[in-house]
Amino acid sequence: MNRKHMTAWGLLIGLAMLVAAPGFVGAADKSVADGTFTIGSQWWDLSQPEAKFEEYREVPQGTFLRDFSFRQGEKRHLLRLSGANVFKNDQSVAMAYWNGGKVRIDLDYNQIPHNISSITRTPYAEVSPGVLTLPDTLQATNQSNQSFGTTAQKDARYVAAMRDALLNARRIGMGFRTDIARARLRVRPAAGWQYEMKGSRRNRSGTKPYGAPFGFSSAIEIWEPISQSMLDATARLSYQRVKNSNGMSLQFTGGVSAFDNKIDKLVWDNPKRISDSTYASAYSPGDGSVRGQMDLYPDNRSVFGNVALGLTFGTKVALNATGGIAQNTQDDPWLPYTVNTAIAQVDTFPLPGTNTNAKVTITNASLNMAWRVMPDATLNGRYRLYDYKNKTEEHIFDGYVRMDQVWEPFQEISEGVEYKDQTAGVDADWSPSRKISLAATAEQVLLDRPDREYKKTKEMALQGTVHLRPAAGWHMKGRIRHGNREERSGGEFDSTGYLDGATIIEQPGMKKYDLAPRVRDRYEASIAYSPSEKWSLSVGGTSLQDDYEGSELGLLEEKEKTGTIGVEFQPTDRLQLMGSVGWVKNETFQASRESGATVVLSDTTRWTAELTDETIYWSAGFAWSAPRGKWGLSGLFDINRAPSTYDLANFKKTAVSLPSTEYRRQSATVELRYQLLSSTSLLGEWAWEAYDVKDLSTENVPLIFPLTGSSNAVFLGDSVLDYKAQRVAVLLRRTF
Amino acid sequence: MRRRRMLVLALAGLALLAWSAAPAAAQGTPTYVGSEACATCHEEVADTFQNNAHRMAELDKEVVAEHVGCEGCHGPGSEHAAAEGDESDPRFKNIKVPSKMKPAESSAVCQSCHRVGEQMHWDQSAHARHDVACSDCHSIHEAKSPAGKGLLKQAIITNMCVSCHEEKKGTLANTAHMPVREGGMSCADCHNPHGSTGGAMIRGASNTDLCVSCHGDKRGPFLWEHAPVREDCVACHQPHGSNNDKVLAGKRPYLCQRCHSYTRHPSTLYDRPDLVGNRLFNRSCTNCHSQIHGSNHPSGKFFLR
Repeated sequence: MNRKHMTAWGLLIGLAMLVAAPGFVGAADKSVADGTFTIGSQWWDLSQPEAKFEEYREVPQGTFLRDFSFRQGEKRHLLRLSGANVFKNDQSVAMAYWNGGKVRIDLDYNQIPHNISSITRTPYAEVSPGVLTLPDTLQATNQSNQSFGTTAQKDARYVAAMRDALLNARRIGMGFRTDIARARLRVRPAAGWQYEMKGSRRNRSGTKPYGAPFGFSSAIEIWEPISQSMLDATARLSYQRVKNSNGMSLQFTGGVSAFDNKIDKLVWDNPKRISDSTYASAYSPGDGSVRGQMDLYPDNRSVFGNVALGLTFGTKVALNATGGIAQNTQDDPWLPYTVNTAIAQVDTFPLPGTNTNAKVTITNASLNMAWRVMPDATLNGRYRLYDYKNKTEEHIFDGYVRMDQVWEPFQEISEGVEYKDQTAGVDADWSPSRKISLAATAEQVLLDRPDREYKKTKEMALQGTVHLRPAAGWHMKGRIRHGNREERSGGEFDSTGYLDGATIIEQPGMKKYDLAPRVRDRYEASIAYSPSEKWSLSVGGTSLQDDYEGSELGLLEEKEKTGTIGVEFQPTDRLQLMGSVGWVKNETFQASRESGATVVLSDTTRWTAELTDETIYWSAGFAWSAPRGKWGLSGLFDINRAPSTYDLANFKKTAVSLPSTEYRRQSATVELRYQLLSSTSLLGEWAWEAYDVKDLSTENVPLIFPLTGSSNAVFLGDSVLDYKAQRVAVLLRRTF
Repeated sequence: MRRRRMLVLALAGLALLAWSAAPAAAQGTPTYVGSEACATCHEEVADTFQNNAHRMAELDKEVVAEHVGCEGCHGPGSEHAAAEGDESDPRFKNIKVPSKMKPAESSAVCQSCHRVGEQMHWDQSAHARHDVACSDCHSIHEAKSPAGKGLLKQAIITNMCVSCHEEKKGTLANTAHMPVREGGMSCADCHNPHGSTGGAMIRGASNTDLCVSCHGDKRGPFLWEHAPVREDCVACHQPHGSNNDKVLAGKRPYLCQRCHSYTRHPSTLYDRPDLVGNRLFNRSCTNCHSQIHGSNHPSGKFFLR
């Protein structure tokens, strides 16, 4: 069912309900209807074909229905229809229907485009879903060229041949769209009982850039062909009762979710080969197989159920308990080790099975008790368990084929990841007067990860918060949090980890930041002042610092600071001004140790990277209406500027920092409104947008990279471009 | 034996708690007069209420609640009505006004009907604990959102959220972002502002569970797993927006090198001269390790296939 069908069905169902509801239409005496729609024409101009302008939207060109909403209620029936950008790529349509308090039906349909690039070019042709081919003549020429001369000469010939071929590369759009259809039925059959069924279908189709290498220096960028769907169904039975201020609620939920990938593998040609061969070294420059084969995301399913119980005793005690279990499974058939027919070991060493037969059981439970110990003080205790247990059997492989080039005779054993997270906390809140309230939290997180370097960690965090309201219109808030994550008994650090045929080994002292011991401090403060309804001012800031004191390599320190200022001012009933400023600065400091085949435990190999990443955000707007409201004018300007720096250093003082990067987006919108009739307005809109990029790795992406040298990557050329855009719209808004 | 004793003590404690929390006997005198009586003075509110989902509840009060309509939230109105609009009459104030009540009390009014489904975990939510009332976000009589969805005070859910969570405004506008700014998603797609069992009031028992509820392709389980992907997507991604491709928390290859410092190419310092190499340029590490979320290919241990 395509998008137009879905939309048409939604509207048809809505209209059918409108007509079919007994006494619904025509009983004008008691029926109440209202609604609004905005329709008009729009023109826009874009200076460069940068997909970012329409990244998650379609900016309509020409006549379009911007939005509509409609409500009609009569006796037992209430119908609500709404939509935006109907028949466009980013349309959304929703319908809700009530039959008294007993039945509610919701249907909605949304499309979310994700345009990635409109300038990508490729010599590949997709001859069938997931099969990308190159002209045989190109492959033959390149293979033949590999027999001539030195490595440099071979590379030069390859670059020359590819450059010629890429001159005629066709332009393709890169992006995908997600179409989401949802339905929900809620029925209240008897006092306190509620039954709810929900279903959704999420289709995603299109393309996105994908790396598909053939060797260490032969990165090929093609695209992932996307044709996926996800079906979800949930049923829920609930019961609630309130008696003498005591309440009880009980809820059972169960459901399934199934992901289906209609294209399960990606096959693509190697530009360097017309016949299969194998390359002796693991560090092949891509001279091996005719084509590569990759497994795309496997189909999978999830079945889940949970129960939740809530009890309240007056307004003093609230108790909540939940328990749930889910099982995720995946049994997509395995592909062979390789499609390279020259690798004989594939026949000698059969695969240890036909599929992963993966099975994971997730158990979760929570218990929460909120107790109002005094009229102005509450105590809250909570516990949460999340246990991700991997029941997939391990599979032992005699070796593997690296990038379809060479058989690597190292036994590989698959291991399912599993972990358990237990969080317990106590929160105390006390408001001795309306002017002050205090809160304190103590929380402990226990993590068990049997397959990782730190098997067991615990994090203890303490937090204190104070709210002050010293006078009318003032609100001040301060918060401090200190957390300390450390290993706990039985979970000592073990980094023997990864060993790949003794060619790559872990550096001693490396601790991965998602589990390494860490001290975290966070501070937060804000002041809000709102002396009257006419104006308000708020200022706030946060500071977060993570110290990985026990780590020698990896992430050692991270800091994040934020600041915000917001102001709203309404000098008259007809004029409103608003503005805000935001700032976020993230700084990280990390270290590593350069090495060849073996680790050299010396400071001479150490390097560090100090990265900063900032966001500065400004926004200013106004809304004005003329006396009697006939005319109105509003405007909004915002700018988001994000500079980043990359300071690199090493012991030898040879490191050269990267050029800084910056992303900047500015937009301005002005809307003029004229009220033609009491229910009809004419709108004129002008908008301007500018996007500027300075990024060493995403600007000027060529089709072959670099133009000289031994690193021969074929990219899609999906550079990010600066652009300026202007938009003018004339619209009619009618309410009824 | 000791465990049983503990259990008996715990049950006794709970029973005591329940008893101590039992409400005092009701002593108010006002009685219920029906929504029509309210409409005689509050005509405008009554009109807008005609297209309000709450009006529907009034038609089936036997399955919804004992008292619905105006008095379902405002309490019995006979005394207030008897004052006939005279504010000096003490009876005039004998009516509940949730917007003027303490947050916990006004939310309890809503909870008398809304205790399950989305609101099942309200009591344990950060919003409830930090004195946010239902009426801070919802406009019960008339909504500002399109066609009255959610009876919200603002037309766009995200605007509602950032009016308090101002620090998120900047990050949502970052170059790499989810389609929140464009309206394809809202904060409420990932967070349940009414509370949940997950941290940060997310709509999932864990961050990963939440993410894979839309990104089902990443759910696996895979033959070859990338441990942080399985444990927490937020280890590498910043869902509120970032300045790096794919809402990554840092620029590649340095983000990857925070964990991967093995010998040979993973621990190489990729500095400015390396811009000519494909490990710093374009998609960096994922130019080759494109199956970074996990692979089901027998030769996919290093996420190259």
